[in-house]
Amino acid sequence: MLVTPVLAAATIVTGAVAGLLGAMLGIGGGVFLVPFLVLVVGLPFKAAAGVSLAAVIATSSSVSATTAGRHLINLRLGMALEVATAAGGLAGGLTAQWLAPRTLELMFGVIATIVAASVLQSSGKEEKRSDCEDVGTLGGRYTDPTTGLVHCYRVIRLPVALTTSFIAGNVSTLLGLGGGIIKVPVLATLCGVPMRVAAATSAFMIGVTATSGALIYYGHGDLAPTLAAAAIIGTQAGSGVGLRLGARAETAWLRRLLAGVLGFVAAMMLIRALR
Amino acid sequence: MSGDLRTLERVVGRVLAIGTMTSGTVLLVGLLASFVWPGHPVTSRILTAGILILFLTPAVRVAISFGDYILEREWWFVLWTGIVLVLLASGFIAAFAL
Repeated sequence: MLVTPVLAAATIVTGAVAGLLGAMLGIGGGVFLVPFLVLVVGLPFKAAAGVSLAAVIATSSSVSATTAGRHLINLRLGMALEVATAAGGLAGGLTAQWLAPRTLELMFGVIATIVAASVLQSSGKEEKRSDCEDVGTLGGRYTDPTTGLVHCYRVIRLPVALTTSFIAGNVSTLLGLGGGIIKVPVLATLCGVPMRVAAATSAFMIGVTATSGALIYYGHGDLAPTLAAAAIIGTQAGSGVGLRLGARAETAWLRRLLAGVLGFVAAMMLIRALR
Repeated sequence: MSGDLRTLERVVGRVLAIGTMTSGTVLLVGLLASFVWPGHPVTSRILTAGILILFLTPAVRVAISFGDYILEREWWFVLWTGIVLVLLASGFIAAFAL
């Protein structure tokens, strides 16, 4: 397709907003990029998902490049769960070819509704501190940047974490999202991983997850390079700014705004799918 | 051991930073070139190169971790990262070589 400078500029701006909010709130930008590309630009769903996945890789890499020095990423847990997300991502790329665009739009609408509901809930709960003697092979310790306290944790229910990661990888490729929205709550509530570590580790893994999916879209010619370039440049700039603002920003109103925008986007997608 | 893990973390962080900067710069050049010479083969080569660097960045950090786990004799992690490398390699071959 022909990408005019105006369309490129609009895509860069949307990518920047997606990257900014993604870095500040710990969600991927895909949930904004896909509806923009489908509803505003008029791309077919699969082409939008392909471009969005490429932008999600960029967000993951730039966010993790910054968090890597802060000991928030659990590398070992990430590497183990990546087996499941990459396999899920490849499987999703293969099934996406067989699903009708309408089905994908319906799935997107449902997931966006869930994301909207979950971002409204504050994540500022006090983490439990546990025994630091034995954290197991996959467990770890991290220093909470706000309180300065050292938290230790063991990873429990690994099969649950692996199954969830497979599903997250699958949804990621099918819908052009990062999939963190599925992994982070499960890791934090069921598998003993502190919220901050779960979010940083998930963001870290998403680079591999989204790459496995994006490769399939690229191979099928569903990844428009010019539009992807615009989206990636935007998300990189946006997530860079978001990471700098993230620590001191008042996120309560941002969360409400995000939930409102997402609710609107979800409704648009559902209307389109059910028309 | 935690000292080594932190070294790996730092190396991985640097790889991601370099990959992000490089792919972003190449894609920006490609995007600008596509307005000056739309549809020119060199333009699409530049864009493809930028996207390839973007895709390779997470793969390279997995490969570096794989090598580090071999040196550390952490065989379970050699296995996990090895499987991920095989999955990614098959994706790259299917997308770029077939």
